[in-house]
Amino acid sequence: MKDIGHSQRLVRQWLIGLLGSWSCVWFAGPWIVNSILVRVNDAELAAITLREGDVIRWRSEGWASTLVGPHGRPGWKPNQASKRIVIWGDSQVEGFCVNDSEKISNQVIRIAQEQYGQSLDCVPMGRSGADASDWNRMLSAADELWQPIAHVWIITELADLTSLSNDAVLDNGSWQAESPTAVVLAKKLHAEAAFQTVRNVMLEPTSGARRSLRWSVGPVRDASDAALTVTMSQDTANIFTNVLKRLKLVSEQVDQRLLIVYAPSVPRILDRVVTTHPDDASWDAFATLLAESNIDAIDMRSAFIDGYRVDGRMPRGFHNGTPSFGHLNAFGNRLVAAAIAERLAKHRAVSSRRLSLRETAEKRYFRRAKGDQP
Amino acid sequence: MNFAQAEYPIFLAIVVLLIACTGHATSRKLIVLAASFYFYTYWDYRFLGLLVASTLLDWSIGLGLARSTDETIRRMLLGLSIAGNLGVLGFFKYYNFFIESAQAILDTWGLHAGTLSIVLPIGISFYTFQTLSYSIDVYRRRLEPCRSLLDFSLYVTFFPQLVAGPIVRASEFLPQLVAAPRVELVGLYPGLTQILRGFVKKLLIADHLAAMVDPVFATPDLYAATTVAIAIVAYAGQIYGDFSGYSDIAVGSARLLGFSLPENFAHPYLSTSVADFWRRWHITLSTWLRDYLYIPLGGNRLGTVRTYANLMITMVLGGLWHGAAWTFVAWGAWHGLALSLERFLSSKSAANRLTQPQVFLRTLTTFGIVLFGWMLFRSQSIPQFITLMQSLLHGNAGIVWLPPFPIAALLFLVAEHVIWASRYRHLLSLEPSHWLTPWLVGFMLASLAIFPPGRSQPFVYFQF
Repeated sequence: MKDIGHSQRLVRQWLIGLLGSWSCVWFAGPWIVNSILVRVNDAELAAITLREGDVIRWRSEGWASTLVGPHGRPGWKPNQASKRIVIWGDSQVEGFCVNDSEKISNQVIRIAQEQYGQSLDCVPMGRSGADASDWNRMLSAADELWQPIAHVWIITELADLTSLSNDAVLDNGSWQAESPTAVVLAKKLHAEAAFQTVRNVMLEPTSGARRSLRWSVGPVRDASDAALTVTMSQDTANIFTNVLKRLKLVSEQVDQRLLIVYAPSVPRILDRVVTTHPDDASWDAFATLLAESNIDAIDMRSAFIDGYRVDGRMPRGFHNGTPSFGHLNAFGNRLVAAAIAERLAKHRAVSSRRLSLRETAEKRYFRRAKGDQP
Repeated sequence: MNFAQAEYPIFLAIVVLLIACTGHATSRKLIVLAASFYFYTYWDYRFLGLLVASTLLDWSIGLGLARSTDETIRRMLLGLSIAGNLGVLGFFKYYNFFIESAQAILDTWGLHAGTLSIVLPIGISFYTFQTLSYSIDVYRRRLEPCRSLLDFSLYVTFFPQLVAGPIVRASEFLPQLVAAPRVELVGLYPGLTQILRGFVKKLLIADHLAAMVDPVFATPDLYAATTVAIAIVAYAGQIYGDFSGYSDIAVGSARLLGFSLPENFAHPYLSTSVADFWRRWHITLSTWLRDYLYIPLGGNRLGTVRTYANLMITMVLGGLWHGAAWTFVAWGAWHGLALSLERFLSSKSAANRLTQPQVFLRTLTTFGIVLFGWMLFRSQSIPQFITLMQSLLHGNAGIVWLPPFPIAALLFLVAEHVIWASRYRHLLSLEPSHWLTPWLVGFMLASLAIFPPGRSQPFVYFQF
């Protein structure tokens, strides 16, 4: 009887301890791990976006919070400025790893105001994994919704742009998938820790691909060489010609209001500070073609390198990451934002399109009232 | 296979289940042997032959030593074992190092000796030392030779200790084969908690620290002195977490199969002297070096000068065992020097009981000496070590990088050492009946699930 009593006490003790510790982790989860992202359909943008009003805490690089604005735009608080630009990009523009005030879009607004006295609104159209073919697809919807004076495409890798050469093949399906109910429920229950656990078990930590187990004996062949050969064998010149053709169409579509910002990952710390990038020659050749076609472009390489040489600060990397690697940090975002604001001021791109937010809202209201599809 | 891979817990669970379900003792041994071969070939099947050859060589030599009474033949057999084991080790591990080092001299005669593209077979430094100790013990008649090839193969290839130790003596392992392998309920809890502790040390501490250590040691001149200093301490934490974590998983896994392997670490950073450090760090290697190198060299029996010389020789060779590079030689020499100096100073002062502040001061001094050694150990070359030293002195010019996860991992390690040194040490033994244990186990499991390292690092000692 004494033994049974002891065993029961032990089992009870273990149940309480395990449940208690996991409950602590569950409740602390929202503060210590990345937020669960809920994606919903935005009829006006005809795209899957983040859910307005959600607060996204990001912990994997910076230690930052993002408030999702209208149309699922991260960190966007629409202001009353008469001029507006739309910044397109991938996770750099999404900017979860920096606080809202440090995101590229909000820094552009601030710098334009402080340095050029220009009142501006800036819509961040960034999404992790998106590229030029995605932006191209949503361009007209954004144009109709916001009537921007400029569309800024932020390119961090040339591959972001080259996808434009054949967007039928590179169609990004993830833009078209709403979050499943389980994800919405997990977010509602603040189950960030459990969600992260499932992710860590199911997915590879670096690539994010589904985790697979290997049971065959070694040695394991390295697949990276083969992948590299395929990339190198592609006809770069043909791709650039196609991309340029498409970009000209895009530029015409938006009345020459397209500005391309090239912000590759330089400088990088390898065995020393490396200020060159493997795509340097390709970009230089492509930049010449862009200039000949009157497509405006900003090359951020020298600003990034000077930023390090003068200030000793890297444009990429966080304390909670590795210096010079990963996403643009607040300093890198400031450099990009300053370059955009300067270019906008230089061109005095105050176009005839003066449509205030109120007007846009009225337009939307009447369209809804008429039952038109956007 | 790497303990830190997701496949390992599944593999281990299958082996434990098979052993638990198998009644016949020889079948259980065959299962473990097959599992060990699979474990080794999972990395690279091409080096299995080398492992088998090493096993057969020392098993046959053991039998030969037992049969022969002629001392000349016995000496020749032992010589064959030493030449065979050290020859293989020397070729795979040191050939290129010696050729590259000798090239400067050869250049003066206009000679050129080419290096070879050699892959270091995983675990070779460990299993050659095990087989070598077996042959020496049989030669010294301190151990009866193992007549069963199955038992001897199991001793050499036993997967928990095959690739990075602990270096088990045949006298410790072979007697256990009377009963083991077998799965007993009583061994499950201690085995599992020791494995859990090992995973925490490896994945939560060592791998998170590596995320800071690797970039800073690659380009120390780019970082501020504060960052470099933290990275050096972080490396001390990384190598401890990595290797003692590995040893915990090895000992825990063996325990699940009914084996008891020797512990390899005893909180070495709490040592009050360098000699004490070597009684707590990689215990199975330091005792191996003591028994098969230092004592045969004469130990401390041949006068003061020879004692210091023997200490230096043992530590330099111990350093070289870790890797074929001058930084390892320098690391060994540094420890040899520290041990000699310590011996000299202790011979001049009377042995008194230390007060608490004295213990603290001596622990801090020993840690400083060990830390300096780690700087040599981790540097890729002597010039890189000099750059590292310069980076410590150039103030806060450079990138100030204070990564929160590695710093938290470091603080966690410090807290664990403080608890171990206090009267609350019993909490760390994870006694199942203590009310706090389920909470600790729960937090450890949750942390492993939520904060795995971004990229799993290979175990540091795999390269040795």
